[in-house]
Amino acid sequence: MDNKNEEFPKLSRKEFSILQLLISNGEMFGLEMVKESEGELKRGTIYVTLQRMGDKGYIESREEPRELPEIGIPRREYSATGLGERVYQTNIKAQEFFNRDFVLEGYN
Amino acid sequence: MKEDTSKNQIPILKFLNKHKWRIILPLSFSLFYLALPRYTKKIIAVQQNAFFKSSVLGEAEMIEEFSEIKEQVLSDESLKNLILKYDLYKTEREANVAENVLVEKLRNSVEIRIGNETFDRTAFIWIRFNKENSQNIAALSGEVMNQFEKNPDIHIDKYVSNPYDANVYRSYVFFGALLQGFVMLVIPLILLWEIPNMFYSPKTKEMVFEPLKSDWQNELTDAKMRKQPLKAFQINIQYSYSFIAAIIQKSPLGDLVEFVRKFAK
Repeated sequence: MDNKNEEFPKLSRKEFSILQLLISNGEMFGLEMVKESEGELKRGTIYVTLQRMGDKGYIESREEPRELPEIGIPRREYSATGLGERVYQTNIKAQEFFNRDFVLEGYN
Repeated sequence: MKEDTSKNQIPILKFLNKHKWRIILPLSFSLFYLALPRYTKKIIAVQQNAFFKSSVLGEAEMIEEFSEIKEQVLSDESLKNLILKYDLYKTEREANVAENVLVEKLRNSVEIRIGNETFDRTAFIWIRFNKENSQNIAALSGEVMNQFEKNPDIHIDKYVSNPYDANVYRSYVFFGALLQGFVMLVIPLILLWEIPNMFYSPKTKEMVFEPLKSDWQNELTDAKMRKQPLKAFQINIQYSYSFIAAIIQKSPLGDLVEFVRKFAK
Protein backbone atom coordinates (compact mmCIF):
# COMPACT_ATOMS: atom_id res chain seq x y z
CA MET A 1 0.00 0.00 0.00
CA ASP A 2 1.26 3.41 -0.93
CA ASN A 3 1.33 5.59 2.16
CA LYS A 4 2.57 8.69 0.36
CA ASN A 5 0.27 11.67 0.73
CA GLU A 6 0.33 13.98 -2.25
CA GLU A 7 -1.16 16.91 -0.38
CA PHE A 8 0.96 18.67 2.26
CA PRO A 9 -0.79 18.16 5.63
CA LYS A 10 -0.96 21.78 6.69
CA LEU A 11 -2.25 22.28 10.24
CA SER A 12 -4.60 25.07 11.29
CA ARG A 13 -3.59 27.19 14.30
CA LYS A 14 -5.93 25.26 16.57
CA GLU A 15 -4.77 21.89 15.31
CA PHE A 16 -1.16 22.95 15.76
CA SER A 17 -1.81 24.09 19.36
CA ILE A 18 -3.61 20.85 20.20
CA LEU A 19 -0.82 18.66 18.83
CA GLN A 20 1.79 20.81 20.57
CA LEU A 21 0.01 20.33 23.91
CA LEU A 22 -0.53 16.60 23.44
CA ILE A 23 3.06 15.97 22.35
CA SER A 24 4.53 17.91 25.27
CA ASN A 25 2.12 16.70 27.99
CA GLY A 26 1.00 13.25 26.85
CA GLU A 27 -2.65 12.31 27.41
CA MET A 28 -4.93 15.24 28.19
CA PHE A 29 -8.62 16.01 28.67
CA GLY A 30 -10.31 18.62 26.45
CA LEU A 31 -10.84 21.05 29.31
CA GLU A 32 -7.19 20.74 30.36
CA MET A 33 -6.14 21.73 26.86
CA VAL A 34 -8.48 24.74 26.91
CA LYS A 35 -6.98 25.91 30.21
CA GLU A 36 -3.37 25.22 29.16
CA SER A 37 -3.77 27.03 25.83
CA GLU A 38 -4.44 30.36 27.58
CA GLY A 39 -7.25 31.49 25.30
CA GLU A 40 -6.08 29.91 22.03
CA LEU A 41 -8.61 27.07 22.35
CA LYS A 42 -12.25 27.59 23.31
CA ARG A 43 -14.67 25.29 25.09
CA GLY A 44 -17.24 25.53 22.31
CA THR A 45 -14.93 24.67 19.43
CA ILE A 46 -12.28 22.35 20.81
CA TYR A 47 -14.32 19.14 20.58
CA VAL A 48 -15.35 19.83 16.99
CA THR A 49 -11.67 20.37 16.11
CA LEU A 50 -10.69 17.24 18.06
CA GLN A 51 -13.28 15.19 16.18
CA ARG A 52 -11.99 16.45 12.81
CA MET A 53 -8.41 15.69 13.88
CA GLY A 54 -9.50 12.21 14.94
CA ASP A 55 -11.05 11.67 11.50
CA LYS A 56 -7.76 12.70 9.89
CA GLY A 57 -5.91 10.27 12.15
CA TYR A 58 -3.81 12.90 13.97
CA ILE A 59 -5.15 12.06 17.43
CA GLU A 60 -6.92 9.23 19.22
CA SER A 61 -9.15 9.23 22.27
CA ARG A 62 -10.68 6.96 24.86
CA GLU A 63 -13.12 7.32 27.72
CA GLU A 64 -11.38 7.91 31.04
CA PRO A 65 -11.02 4.63 32.91
CA ARG A 66 -13.24 4.39 35.99
CA GLU A 67 -12.73 1.82 38.71
CA LEU A 68 -15.95 2.45 40.61
CA PRO A 69 -19.31 3.39 39.20
CA GLU A 70 -19.38 7.20 39.27
CA ILE A 71 -22.18 9.65 38.67
CA GLY A 72 -21.97 11.82 35.58
CA ILE A 73 -20.78 11.59 32.01
CA PRO A 74 -17.25 10.16 31.62
CA ARG A 75 -14.60 12.47 30.15
CA ARG A 76 -12.45 11.63 27.12
CA GLU A 77 -8.66 11.53 27.16
CA TYR A 78 -6.83 12.50 24.00
CA SER A 79 -3.36 11.65 22.75
CA ALA A 80 -1.39 12.29 19.56
CA THR A 81 -0.96 9.39 17.12
CA GLY A 82 2.29 8.62 15.27
CA LEU A 83 0.86 10.32 12.20
CA GLY A 84 -0.10 13.35 14.27
CA GLU A 85 3.45 13.66 15.64
CA ARG A 86 4.92 13.37 12.12
CA VAL A 87 2.54 16.00 10.75
CA TYR A 88 3.38 18.31 13.67
CA GLN A 89 7.15 17.91 13.15
CA THR A 90 6.73 18.42 9.40
CA ASN A 91 4.81 21.65 9.98
CA ILE A 92 7.52 22.92 12.37
CA LYS A 93 10.23 22.09 9.81
CA ALA A 94 8.24 23.75 7.03
CA GLN A 95 7.85 26.85 9.17
CA GLU A 96 11.59 26.90 9.99
CA PHE A 97 12.44 26.45 6.30
CA PHE A 98 10.05 29.23 5.32
CA ASN A 99 11.47 31.62 7.96
CA ARG A 100 15.09 30.80 6.98
CA ASP A 101 14.37 31.55 3.32
CA PHE A 102 12.81 34.82 4.36
CA VAL A 103 15.96 35.78 6.27
CA LEU A 104 18.20 34.71 3.34
CA GLU A 105 16.17 36.74 0.90
CA GLY A 106 16.33 39.77 3.14
CA TYR A 107 12.60 39.98 4.02
CA ASN A 108 13.15 39.78 7.79
CA MET B 1 -43.85 -2.52 30.48
CA LYS B 2 -43.60 1.22 30.88
CA GLU B 3 -39.88 1.12 30.08
CA ASP B 4 -40.57 -0.76 26.87
CA THR B 5 -43.06 1.91 25.74
CA SER B 6 -40.60 4.77 26.36
CA LYS B 7 -37.85 2.90 24.50
CA ASN B 8 -40.08 2.58 21.44
CA GLN B 9 -40.89 6.30 21.33
CA ILE B 10 -39.15 8.45 18.73
CA PRO B 11 -36.60 10.86 20.32
CA ILE B 12 -38.64 14.05 20.06
CA LEU B 13 -41.72 12.45 21.67
CA LYS B 14 -39.54 10.93 24.37
CA PHE B 15 -38.07 14.36 25.06
CA LEU B 16 -41.50 16.05 25.16
CA ASN B 17 -42.88 13.38 27.44
CA LYS B 18 -39.93 13.60 29.79
CA HIS B 19 -39.92 17.39 30.07
CA LYS B 20 -43.61 18.17 29.59
CA TRP B 21 -44.02 20.07 32.86
CA ARG B 22 -40.88 22.08 32.32
CA ILE B 23 -42.38 23.27 29.06
CA ILE B 24 -46.05 23.53 30.04
CA LEU B 25 -45.45 25.57 33.22
CA PRO B 26 -43.39 28.43 31.76
CA LEU B 27 -45.67 28.55 28.72
CA SER B 28 -48.76 28.75 30.94
CA PHE B 29 -47.17 31.56 32.95
CA SER B 30 -46.32 33.38 29.74
CA LEU B 31 -49.86 33.03 28.41
CA PHE B 32 -51.21 34.23 31.75
CA TYR B 33 -48.90 37.24 31.55
CA LEU B 34 -50.02 38.04 28.02
CA ALA B 35 -53.66 37.77 29.09
CA LEU B 36 -53.19 40.33 31.89
CA PRO B 37 -54.92 43.66 31.24
CA ARG B 38 -52.56 46.32 29.92
CA TYR B 39 -52.92 49.98 30.64
CA THR B 40 -51.72 53.10 28.98
CA LYS B 41 -50.86 55.65 31.59
CA LYS B 42 -49.87 59.25 31.09
CA ILE B 43 -48.29 61.30 33.81
CA ILE B 44 -47.78 65.04 33.81
CA ALA B 45 -45.82 66.64 36.59
CA VAL B 46 -46.20 70.34 37.34
CA GLN B 47 -44.21 72.48 39.74
CA GLN B 48 -46.38 73.29 42.69
CA ASN B 49 -45.10 76.80 43.32
CA ALA B 50 -45.80 77.62 39.70
CA PHE B 51 -49.04 75.72 39.80
CA PHE B 52 -50.71 78.04 42.28
CA LYS B 53 -50.81 81.73 41.60
CA SER B 54 -50.50 82.60 45.24
CA SER B 55 -47.32 81.17 46.77
CA VAL B 56 -48.26 82.32 50.24
CA LEU B 57 -51.12 79.83 50.59
CA GLY B 58 -50.92 77.48 53.54
CA GLU B 59 -50.89 73.74 52.93
CA ALA B 60 -54.57 73.26 53.87
CA GLU B 61 -55.65 76.13 51.61
CA MET B 62 -53.56 74.79 48.75
CA ILE B 63 -55.17 71.37 49.01
CA GLU B 64 -58.64 72.96 49.15
CA GLU B 65 -57.96 75.08 46.09
CA PHE B 66 -56.51 72.12 44.24
CA SER B 67 -59.63 70.06 45.03
CA GLU B 68 -61.91 72.78 43.69
CA ILE B 69 -60.02 72.95 40.39
CA LYS B 70 -60.02 69.20 40.18
CA GLU B 71 -63.80 69.13 40.55
CA GLN B 72 -64.19 71.60 37.70
CA VAL B 73 -61.87 69.57 35.44
CA LEU B 74 -63.65 66.34 36.25
CA SER B 75 -67.15 67.76 35.95
CA ASP B 76 -69.69 65.89 33.80
CA GLU B 77 -69.75 68.66 31.23
CA SER B 78 -65.97 68.83 30.89
CA LEU B 79 -65.61 65.05 30.57
CA LYS B 80 -68.45 64.81 28.01
CA ASN B 81 -66.61 67.34 25.84
CA LEU B 82 -63.40 65.37 26.09
CA ILE B 83 -65.13 62.13 25.07
CA LEU B 84 -66.56 63.75 21.97
CA LYS B 85 -63.47 65.74 21.06
CA TYR B 86 -61.13 62.75 21.22
CA ASP B 87 -63.62 60.17 20.02
CA LEU B 88 -63.11 58.09 23.16
CA TYR B 89 -64.98 54.83 23.92
CA LYS B 90 -66.05 54.53 20.30
CA THR B 91 -67.13 50.89 20.59
CA GLU B 92 -69.23 51.61 23.67
CA ARG B 93 -70.85 54.66 22.08
CA GLU B 94 -71.70 52.65 18.97
CA ALA B 95 -73.26 50.06 21.25
CA ASN B 96 -75.41 52.87 22.75
CA VAL B 97 -73.91 52.74 26.21
CA ALA B 98 -75.39 55.54 28.34
CA GLU B 99 -73.39 58.80 28.32
CA ASN B 100 -73.25 59.05 32.10
CA VAL B 101 -71.67 55.56 32.25
CA LEU B 102 -68.91 56.68 29.88
CA VAL B 103 -68.39 59.90 31.81
CA GLU B 104 -68.01 57.88 34.98
CA LYS B 105 -65.60 55.55 33.24
CA LEU B 106 -63.43 58.44 32.10
CA ARG B 107 -63.56 60.01 35.54
CA ASN B 108 -62.26 56.76 37.03
CA SER B 109 -59.44 56.74 34.51
CA VAL B 110 -58.19 60.20 35.39
CA GLU B 111 -56.45 60.63 38.67
CA ILE B 112 -55.23 64.07 39.68
CA ARG B 113 -53.34 64.54 42.87
CA ILE B 114 -50.80 66.72 44.61
CA GLY B 115 -47.50 64.94 45.11
CA ASN B 116 -46.57 63.85 48.59
CA GLU B 117 -43.59 65.22 50.48
CA THR B 118 -41.20 63.10 48.48
CA PHE B 119 -42.30 64.99 45.38
CA ASP B 120 -42.42 68.35 47.06
CA ARG B 121 -43.84 71.19 44.98
CA THR B 122 -45.11 68.86 42.29
CA ALA B 123 -48.61 67.99 41.20
CA PHE B 124 -49.42 64.94 39.13
CA ILE B 125 -52.12 64.11 36.68
CA TRP B 126 -52.46 60.41 36.03
CA ILE B 127 -54.58 59.19 33.16
CA ARG B 128 -55.08 55.48 32.71
CA PHE B 129 -56.84 53.67 29.90
CA ASN B 130 -57.44 50.16 28.76
CA LYS B 131 -56.42 49.49 25.17
CA GLU B 132 -56.42 53.17 24.22
CA ASN B 133 -54.31 54.81 21.58
CA SER B 134 -51.30 56.42 23.28
CA GLN B 135 -51.45 59.53 21.03
CA ASN B 136 -55.02 60.02 22.21
CA ILE B 137 -53.86 59.77 25.78
CA ALA B 138 -51.12 62.35 25.18
CA ALA B 139 -53.64 64.77 23.67
CA LEU B 140 -56.08 64.13 26.46
CA SER B 141 -53.43 64.75 29.12
CA GLY B 142 -52.60 68.03 27.46
CA GLU B 143 -56.29 68.93 27.38
CA VAL B 144 -56.73 68.26 31.09
CA MET B 145 -53.64 70.36 31.74
CA ASN B 146 -55.06 73.18 29.62
CA GLN B 147 -58.24 73.12 31.65
CA PHE B 148 -56.16 73.65 34.75
CA GLU B 149 -54.40 76.51 33.02
CA LYS B 150 -57.69 78.18 32.09
CA ASN B 151 -58.58 78.51 35.74
CA PRO B 152 -57.92 82.13 36.84
CA ASP B 153 -56.32 80.91 40.08
CA ILE B 154 -53.66 78.94 38.27
CA HIS B 155 -50.49 80.05 36.64
CA ILE B 156 -48.32 77.43 34.99
CA ASP B 157 -44.80 78.49 34.05
CA LYS B 158 -43.40 75.17 32.93
CA TYR B 159 -43.76 71.46 33.03
CA VAL B 160 -41.29 69.77 35.30
CA SER B 161 -41.20 66.71 33.10
CA ASN B 162 -42.45 65.89 29.65
CA PRO B 163 -45.50 63.69 29.64
CA TYR B 164 -44.40 60.10 29.30
CA ASP B 165 -46.05 56.77 28.64
CA ALA B 166 -46.06 53.89 31.01
CA ASN B 167 -47.60 51.42 28.62
CA VAL B 168 -47.86 48.64 31.13
CA TYR B 169 -48.18 48.86 34.86
CA ARG B 170 -44.80 48.68 36.50
CA SER B 171 -45.71 45.65 38.59
CA TYR B 172 -46.84 43.85 35.47
CA VAL B 173 -43.57 44.70 33.79
CA PHE B 174 -41.66 43.28 36.73
CA PHE B 175 -43.80 40.15 36.82
CA GLY B 176 -43.47 39.77 33.07
CA ALA B 177 -39.70 40.25 33.15
CA LEU B 178 -39.40 37.54 35.78
CA LEU B 179 -41.46 35.15 33.71
CA GLN B 180 -39.66 35.92 30.50
CA GLY B 181 -36.34 35.41 32.27
CA PHE B 182 -37.60 32.08 33.58
CA VAL B 183 -38.73 31.03 30.13
CA MET B 184 -35.50 32.20 28.49
CA LEU B 185 -33.27 30.46 31.01
CA VAL B 186 -35.08 27.21 31.65
CA ILE B 187 -36.46 26.19 28.27
CA PRO B 188 -33.36 26.79 26.16
CA LEU B 189 -31.13 25.00 28.66
CA ILE B 190 -33.27 21.88 28.51
CA LEU B 191 -33.60 22.10 24.75
CA LEU B 192 -29.87 22.61 24.33
CA TRP B 193 -29.02 19.29 25.94
CA GLU B 194 -31.59 17.52 23.81
CA ILE B 195 -30.76 19.06 20.41
CA PRO B 196 -27.81 16.70 19.74
CA ASN B 197 -30.05 13.70 20.51
CA MET B 198 -32.50 14.83 17.86
CA PHE B 199 -30.30 16.01 15.02
CA TYR B 200 -26.78 14.60 15.25
CA SER B 201 -25.21 11.20 14.62
CA PRO B 202 -24.23 8.94 17.54
CA LYS B 203 -20.55 9.48 16.64
CA THR B 204 -20.86 13.30 16.82
CA LYS B 205 -22.76 13.01 20.10
CA GLU B 206 -20.04 10.78 21.51
CA MET B 207 -17.08 12.82 20.28
CA VAL B 208 -18.38 16.41 20.57
CA PHE B 209 -21.41 16.83 22.79
CA GLU B 210 -20.85 14.21 25.48
CA PRO B 211 -17.34 15.53 26.36
CA LEU B 212 -18.74 19.08 26.43
CA LYS B 213 -21.57 18.03 28.74
CA SER B 214 -19.05 16.18 30.88
CA ASP B 215 -16.87 19.31 31.28
CA TRP B 216 -20.00 21.38 32.01
CA GLN B 217 -21.09 18.92 34.66
CA ASN B 218 -17.62 18.73 36.25
CA GLU B 219 -17.08 22.47 36.42
CA LEU B 220 -20.60 23.06 37.72
CA THR B 221 -20.28 20.38 40.41
CA ASP B 222 -16.95 21.83 41.43
CA ALA B 223 -18.41 25.35 41.78
CA LYS B 224 -21.38 24.04 43.75
CA MET B 225 -19.17 22.03 46.09
CA ARG B 226 -17.13 25.17 46.75
CA LYS B 227 -20.41 26.99 47.41
CA GLN B 228 -19.83 29.57 44.68
CA PRO B 229 -23.31 30.23 43.25
CA LEU B 230 -22.14 33.14 41.09
CA LYS B 231 -19.39 31.03 39.57
CA ALA B 232 -21.96 28.26 38.93
CA PHE B 233 -24.22 30.77 37.18
CA GLN B 234 -21.31 32.04 35.10
CA ILE B 235 -20.42 28.44 34.12
CA ASN B 236 -23.99 27.79 33.00
CA ILE B 237 -23.98 30.88 30.81
CA GLN B 238 -20.50 30.16 29.42
CA TYR B 239 -21.30 26.54 28.56
CA SER B 240 -24.67 27.46 27.06
CA TYR B 241 -22.82 29.61 24.54
CA SER B 242 -20.17 26.90 24.02
CA PHE B 243 -22.89 24.35 23.39
CA ILE B 244 -24.58 26.64 20.87
CA ALA B 245 -21.19 27.25 19.19
CA ALA B 246 -20.64 23.48 18.90
CA ILE B 247 -24.17 22.97 17.52
CA ILE B 248 -23.58 25.62 14.86
CA GLN B 249 -20.14 24.26 13.96
CA LYS B 250 -21.55 20.79 13.46
CA SER B 251 -24.54 22.04 11.45
CA PRO B 252 -24.62 22.20 7.63
CA LEU B 253 -23.82 25.92 7.99
CA GLY B 254 -20.69 25.08 9.99
CA ASP B 255 -19.66 22.51 7.36
CA LEU B 256 -20.13 25.12 4.64
CA VAL B 257 -17.96 27.63 6.51
CA GLU B 258 -15.28 24.95 6.99
CA PHE B 259 -15.43 24.04 3.28
CA VAL B 260 -15.11 27.70 2.23
CA ARG B 261 -12.20 28.17 4.63
CA LYS B 262 -10.39 25.13 3.20
CA PHE B 263 -11.13 26.25 -0.34
CA ALA B 264 -9.81 29.74 0.38
CA LYS B 265 -6.55 28.27 1.70
